[in-house]
Amino acid sequence: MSSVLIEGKNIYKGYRNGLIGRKQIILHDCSIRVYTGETVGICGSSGSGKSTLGRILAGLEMPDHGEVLFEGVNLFHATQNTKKTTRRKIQVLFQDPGGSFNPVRKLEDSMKRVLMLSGVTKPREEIDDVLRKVGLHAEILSRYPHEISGGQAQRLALARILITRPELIILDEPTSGLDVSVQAQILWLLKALKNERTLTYILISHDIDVLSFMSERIFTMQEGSLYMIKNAGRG
Amino acid sequence: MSNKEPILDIRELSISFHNHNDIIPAVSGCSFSLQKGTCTAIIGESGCGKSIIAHAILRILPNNARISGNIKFKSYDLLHVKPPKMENIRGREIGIMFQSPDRALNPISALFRQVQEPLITHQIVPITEHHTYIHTMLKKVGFSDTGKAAYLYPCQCSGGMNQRAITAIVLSLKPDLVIADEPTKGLDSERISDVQNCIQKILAEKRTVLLITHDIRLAKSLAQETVVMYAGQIIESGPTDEILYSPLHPYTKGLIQSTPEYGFQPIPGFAPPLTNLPPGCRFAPRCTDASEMCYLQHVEPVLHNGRMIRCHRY
Amino acid sequence: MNSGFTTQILQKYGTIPTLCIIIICIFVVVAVFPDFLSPYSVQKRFTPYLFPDGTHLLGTDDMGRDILSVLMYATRTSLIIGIFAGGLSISIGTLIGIVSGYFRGWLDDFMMGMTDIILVIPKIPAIILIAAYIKPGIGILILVLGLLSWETTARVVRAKTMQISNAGFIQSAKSFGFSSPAIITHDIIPVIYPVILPKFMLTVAGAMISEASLSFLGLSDPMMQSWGRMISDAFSHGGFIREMWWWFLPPALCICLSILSVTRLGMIYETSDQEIAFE
Repeated sequence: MSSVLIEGKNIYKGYRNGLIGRKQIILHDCSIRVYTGETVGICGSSGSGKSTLGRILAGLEMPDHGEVLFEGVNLFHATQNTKKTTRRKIQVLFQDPGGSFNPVRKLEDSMKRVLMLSGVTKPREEIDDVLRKVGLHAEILSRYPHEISGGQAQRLALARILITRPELIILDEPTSGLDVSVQAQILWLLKALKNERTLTYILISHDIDVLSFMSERIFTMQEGSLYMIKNAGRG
Repeated sequence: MSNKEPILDIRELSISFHNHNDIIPAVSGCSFSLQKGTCTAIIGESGCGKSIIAHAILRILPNNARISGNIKFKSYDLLHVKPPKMENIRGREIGIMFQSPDRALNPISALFRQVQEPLITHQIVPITEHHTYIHTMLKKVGFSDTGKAAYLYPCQCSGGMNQRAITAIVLSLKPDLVIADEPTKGLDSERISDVQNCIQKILAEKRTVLLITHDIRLAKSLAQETVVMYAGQIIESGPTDEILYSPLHPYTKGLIQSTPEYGFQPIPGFAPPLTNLPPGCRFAPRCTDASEMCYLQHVEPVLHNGRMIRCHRY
Repeated sequence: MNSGFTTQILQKYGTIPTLCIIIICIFVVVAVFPDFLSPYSVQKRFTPYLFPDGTHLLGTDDMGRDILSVLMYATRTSLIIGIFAGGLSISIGTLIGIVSGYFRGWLDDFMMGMTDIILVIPKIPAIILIAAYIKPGIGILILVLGLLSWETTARVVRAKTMQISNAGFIQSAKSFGFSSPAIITHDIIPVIYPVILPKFMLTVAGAMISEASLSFLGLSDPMMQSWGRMISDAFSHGGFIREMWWWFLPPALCICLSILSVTRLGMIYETSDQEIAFE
């Protein structure tokens, strides 16, 4: 019986238009529980708030009310150090793959910075290792982000995430905008990596086929609230 | 294949881009034709050259492009038509629908004006009739309250409404051919069905549609003919029912397998970079049935059971 | 500067920007080494109002100083004011713009409020007011010109920072745990650099024009030799009446050339691939 890896409790989030504009509620009392080792899918149409929920669960944005607990640690109310170490275990794969890398720096630089931050002892081997896992050659590192395809960029973004040894990866529309064949490759890659490294995924997508293929449980976001629509794995 | 004169006929089209150091052969020896009133889909991955063919038809390629071959549209030799005449043809006889209707619309003009502007440029109907004409057009594409809709701005409209506005603009010029370039890229299922409806409306008006997409489901639902491209070449083409339901070329088979209905089965490997193409069949490195000849010998398309196919096995 | 280096720059930027770089380099060299290059010291007095000839290429002014020498020393003043005022302005503007655009919230509102206040203060009348009490020298001029011209930079930098803060690579950097200063230095500044550089050049050009205008109006320290001052002296000390065009035309030409070169150089990033790539 796996434990709860991350839990979002009663999350509210709204945006205010200007200083005196009306507040628009995006997330209304969202609660979600994700267990270690599973893949949870969140679907909903564009603009329904699922990306916002993803960012809140990742610790990138603060909710107006509610809390996010990762392995029991409150993501927004812990000490600076705990916050830092906990947040590093949660990584996000964003939608626009080319946009995940600094456009004016070579891909090599982007990768190296993360290596240094993670304090990896053998950087050369680590890079070769993660590149091999995602199916890329080292020669891609000497290019700029706009010189590689969407599929390659997504793989490299995944490789970069793997360097930090995360426990949870939040995938925000990872294959939207990619060709069908490339999409298939990325989805299988994600499955393979999950088995190899005991990862947990929260997959956000508008494509119900992708979600059905990847997830054990699926939630749908409607008018700011979450509703479970598929439950194959858990009780 | 009917014997009627096709509305668009492309023969041996080759397009390459010349940079400082390299020559990129984006399209190599493509030939296909469109029959009037039908919808033809060109499917293929990003970088296979399908959008470039559309740009070549519209003559909007960048200056460093070198084109050879023949593009015949109605009675025009499109590659050699003079620029003023081409400007006339664009929009008026060949309509274009790009991705992202939200970005194609002018954000500071109300819908009425946006439909009206091309009408004025191309002088389709006299100015006195503009009002009725535009309202009829808006109704045709599915706006229920055209009086209100005509004076909305794009930011006040939903994505679906913008899609219909673009369709109205395209249709109002009464083009014979409409090219839709990746109209559903990155959209969710609701918006994809909006696009589908719009293209069906265009077909209902007896226009010819050239649909460029990588969405196989969309092609299946709209197109009578399908052309499959890989690395700049056409590798299979024919009636959609045959190509997409019983594919013969290994790449087409692989594409179909990678759709959700068949379990997202990936094709191993990557498409070859256009600057470093393999000598024989361009798909050989990724083909499970490749023989030695496939790697070494260039392959020409042949007619096989009612379809064109470029594969050594046929 | 051997020919290999020049051809490299020529290839990268084109003919006109290379010409601008050469012109600016000439001015900089003159500004740094006037002692070696100028024919006479500025202190030396000759017969006033001499016509140009072999010994005095640009003649002498009303106090008997060799005009060419004065021109060369004036280069130093004008350039220093331009560059330092520009530098001050850009530094403040960029800092405020980035902090505002990256952190948002109340900090953003506060800083933009400050910016609006500065925006309202007009530069030249402010200097005229100060000049009523003290004749501003180089230091005061640099301070005032620098402190009153950073608003547009701040706004532009803030807009660009806001635009890229939502981009994937900034969000990724945040989730990897990079600190805000690290993200700003490594990710934001290199991307907004093509915006900052033209602004810097324009501010330098603007500061030089402002200084020339003020000196011409006689509002700056009379002991300070600058191009604007030279033109002012020429007009007020009999150079105009005597039609001594070799006195006021050279400094005017220097002002035009230097400002045009600097401005044109600021435009080199306008067709950069990087801008398109970011889109």
